[in-house]
Amino acid sequence: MNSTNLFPNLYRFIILVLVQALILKQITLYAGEWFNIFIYPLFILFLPIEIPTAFSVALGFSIGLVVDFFYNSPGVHASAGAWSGFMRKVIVMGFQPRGGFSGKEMIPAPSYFGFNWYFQVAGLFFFLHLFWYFSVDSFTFVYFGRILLKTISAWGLSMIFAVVFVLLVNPKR
Amino acid sequence: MNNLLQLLIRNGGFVALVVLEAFCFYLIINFNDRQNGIFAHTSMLFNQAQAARRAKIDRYFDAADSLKSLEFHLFQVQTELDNAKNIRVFQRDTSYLVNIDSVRGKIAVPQFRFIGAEVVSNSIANRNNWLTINRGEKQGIHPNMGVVSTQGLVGIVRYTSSDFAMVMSLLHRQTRISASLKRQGFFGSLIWDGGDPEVMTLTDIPKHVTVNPGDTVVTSGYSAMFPKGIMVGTVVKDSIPSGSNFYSISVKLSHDLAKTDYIRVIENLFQPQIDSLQKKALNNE
Repeated sequence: MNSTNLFPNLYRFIILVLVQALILKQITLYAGEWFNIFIYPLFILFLPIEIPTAFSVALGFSIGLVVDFFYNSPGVHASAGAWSGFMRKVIVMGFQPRGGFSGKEMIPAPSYFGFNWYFQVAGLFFFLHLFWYFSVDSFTFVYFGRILLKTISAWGLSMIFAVVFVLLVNPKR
Repeated sequence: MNNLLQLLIRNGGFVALVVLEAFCFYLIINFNDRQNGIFAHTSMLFNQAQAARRAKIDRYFDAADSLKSLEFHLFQVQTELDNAKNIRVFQRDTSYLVNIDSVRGKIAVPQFRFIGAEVVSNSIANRNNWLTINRGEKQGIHPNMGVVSTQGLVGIVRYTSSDFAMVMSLLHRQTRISASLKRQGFFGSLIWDGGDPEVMTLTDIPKHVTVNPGDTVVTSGYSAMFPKGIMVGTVVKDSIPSGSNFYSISVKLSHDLAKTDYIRVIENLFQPQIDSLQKKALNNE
């Protein structure tokens, strides 16, 4: 990460954490445990494409830990964040355009790859993140069906916000 | 070292993931009540299962020891049983009841006492074989006591020290034990001709007796060393040497002397009485 993309990522970090902690958490508190909305994973997804996996894992862990601070659940979001930081590279490489990345695309955003591509990547990314999160949250696979249902409901809601976010901000760096 | 570094760099993401997830796991189970409860419960179940598995493995490895102790226990019980069997019961003379009335009726006097011992050395391959046992004069063992195992005869004590005793095995040139055919009741002498350590020869059975292979041979009780009726073995072959009036019977021993570990030494408590009586009779001849 250099000076050109340090600040956009830093801003995203701050904004997403604030939105998560001040707005989305309140929605969940008000609407109940089936209405979880997580938007902070977008920070992990929008890290530079070429970033080493070790860094994305560490950064995912960091934002998760900050969110945990607001959700009062030390380690749960951090665990999901580190996991997403790892899987992010796998997903993005799996969806790379024919002929590979040209080097001009800085982040896996719709401004470079189109909205359809973004929706697939973000969809898979969010699903893995949420499934991990709810697994760690319930800490047992005894209620596997419950974990899956929570994941699906949270996935639908979160994807709405992920789309709204790129429509509003349309990040390029 | 270089390879290790390269491996780390190539898999840095994965290493970071594992390390951070481990740290998260630590945070989760230490600072979240619900997950902590689940973890405590799960680890308890796991530990219980683990303990059960370990106990199972331990039992497997302790099997030899417990078998040994069971064997020893069985051996003690059998010793006691033998002691109980060989108690001779007397009807008391009524004249004594005048003086002693606390014990009425019968009093039990054992004729034989059995002393348990463990074999510390053994041989079967020589012409004259010996066993060493870990009981001696301190435990009341003296020469000319009979030695038996749970399955049958073993030999006769010949030499003793304070803690050990040498037992002349049945497989010895000088062995001569009074034994009888259990069914027919005739008695003869048991000797060993050498060779097969499982087979001895019963001599001096008169030729008018019918002997069949499979007949049981037991101690006769005529020698003071062995009580009557201890199993010796079974008849495998009988023949009458030409010009002889007596059988020469091959007896397969019931106790395999190659596998002797625990034995019992038989003490005849009436030995001094019998000895002095027989001496008196011989002197008067």
